[in-house]
Amino acid sequence: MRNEILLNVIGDINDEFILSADNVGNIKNHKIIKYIASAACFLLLATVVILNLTQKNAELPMLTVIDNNDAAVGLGYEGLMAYRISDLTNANPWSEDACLSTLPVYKNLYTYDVNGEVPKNADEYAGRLLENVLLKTKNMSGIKVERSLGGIEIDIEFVPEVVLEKKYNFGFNSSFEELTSVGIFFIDEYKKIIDMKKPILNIYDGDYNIYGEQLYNMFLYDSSGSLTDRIINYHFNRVYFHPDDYGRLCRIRIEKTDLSHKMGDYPIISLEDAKELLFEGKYITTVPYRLTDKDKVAKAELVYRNGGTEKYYMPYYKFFIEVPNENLKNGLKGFGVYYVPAVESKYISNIPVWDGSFN
Amino acid sequence: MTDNDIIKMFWDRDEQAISRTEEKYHNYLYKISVNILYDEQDVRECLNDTYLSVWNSIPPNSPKAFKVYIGKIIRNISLNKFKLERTKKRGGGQVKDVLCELDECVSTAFDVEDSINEKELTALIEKFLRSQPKQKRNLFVKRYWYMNSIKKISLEFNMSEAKVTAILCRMRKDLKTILKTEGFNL
Repeated sequence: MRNEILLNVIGDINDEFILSADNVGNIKNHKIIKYIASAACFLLLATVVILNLTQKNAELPMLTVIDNNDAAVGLGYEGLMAYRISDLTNANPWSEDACLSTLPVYKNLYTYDVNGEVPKNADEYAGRLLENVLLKTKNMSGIKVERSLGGIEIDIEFVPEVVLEKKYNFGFNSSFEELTSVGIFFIDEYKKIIDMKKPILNIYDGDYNIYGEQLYNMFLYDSSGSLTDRIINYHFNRVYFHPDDYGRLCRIRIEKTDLSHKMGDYPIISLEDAKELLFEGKYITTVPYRLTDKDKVAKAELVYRNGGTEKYYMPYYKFFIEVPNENLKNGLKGFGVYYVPAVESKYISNIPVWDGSFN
Repeated sequence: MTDNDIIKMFWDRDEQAISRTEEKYHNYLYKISVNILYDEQDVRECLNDTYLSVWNSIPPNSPKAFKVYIGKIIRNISLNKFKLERTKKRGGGQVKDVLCELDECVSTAFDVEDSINEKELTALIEKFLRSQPKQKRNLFVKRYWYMNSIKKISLEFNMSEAKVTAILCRMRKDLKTILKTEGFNL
């Protein structure tokens, strides 16, 4: 069969490709070890400085940021392609007129270990999550509930997959409207599993591939409570619905990050101050393009970086900048992503300064 | 022990070479094989066949990248075993899904009499991979060479499974276009 020929031929590709992919885990090892060594030095220095200075909020511990390439996807760096910035969408509860002076910072209790994997101490927490979901689904048949492989999320696999009514187009190419329609159905149909006071659909991305197809993703989060509550839920308390290749619902994934270790409520800088830091080069990025004062911010939002290598879950301003030389002939533009810590600099021991390296 | 030390042991026909290879690369080889076969007994057989094959091929070979060299051997042995066992409906890890995905790159209309120059096809796939950003290249190799599951890949690359699936889907479409353009009717 021809697909077998292709599979065999792929087996004979040059060693450089195989070695490069094999190093994906190792790169994280080196970065984490390098980060730990750097963080240890900064921590020592910071300790000496702190002992000799008086601080306004002495009870707030110093934080460290990490510079990693884990978010680099698709384009080879973190970014999206669109005809205009307004194509890119999400239901992030933060907006530019939000009046927030502080935001909580949490410690990531389960940062990836040196092998790039979730550490064993996450087992207990994952076990509690699993029990909770098993309780909610005890009267359901045709499902398999288990912890995701190597992760902390809980998966509810439908066996067999759920065939949806023809009016629902649920797949990787679903439009915004189609995802909205099926999302509303899911909110009602699976409310016991979702278990949120005020579930809201987040249909996000809206970027394009090279064929001009616009692609969206979807999850639910709880929009009850204060703005801070909603921001935290948006980033750390999510329910995903996954289609298979035939438009059937094959899995519900529940992500509920352990936020039991709060570092404190940290003062945050304004968006304008963050822009100044951005153009001073004090950002984290995977985009192979150094900003100049001629660049314009296309879009900004406040987010929490919630990857497994983050030592702290803390807020950042996420800036989208149009990247020159990434524009295709069909009018699609590349928007690269740059992050500036939103927490006031005096609480960060290693303010990022982009050194020009990338992925 | 370095790979060069192990290769030297093979060249010196020192039987400890196989033990050293097993000590260093058992987990690596196991993961490649279990992704394909998903059956413990079959995987063990493939591991043994691999060590024997390496013993019989070094010398005269002296691979520059020993790890990849033995990885390719076990991948081929495991795929051959998969084809054999498929008729008995045993085992089968990720291969079935991977073959279904690669089916998208195959033209629906082709002449069965057409022969395929596999070396040229490999070169074209390499060219395709070089044209991709590093992250996408690595994703492709993780899925279609290592045959890791989408779940595992999503964890390794810290992205959602939907995103991994979408990226691979786009890459397969791009690959199909290139295959057609270059005249490969698979």
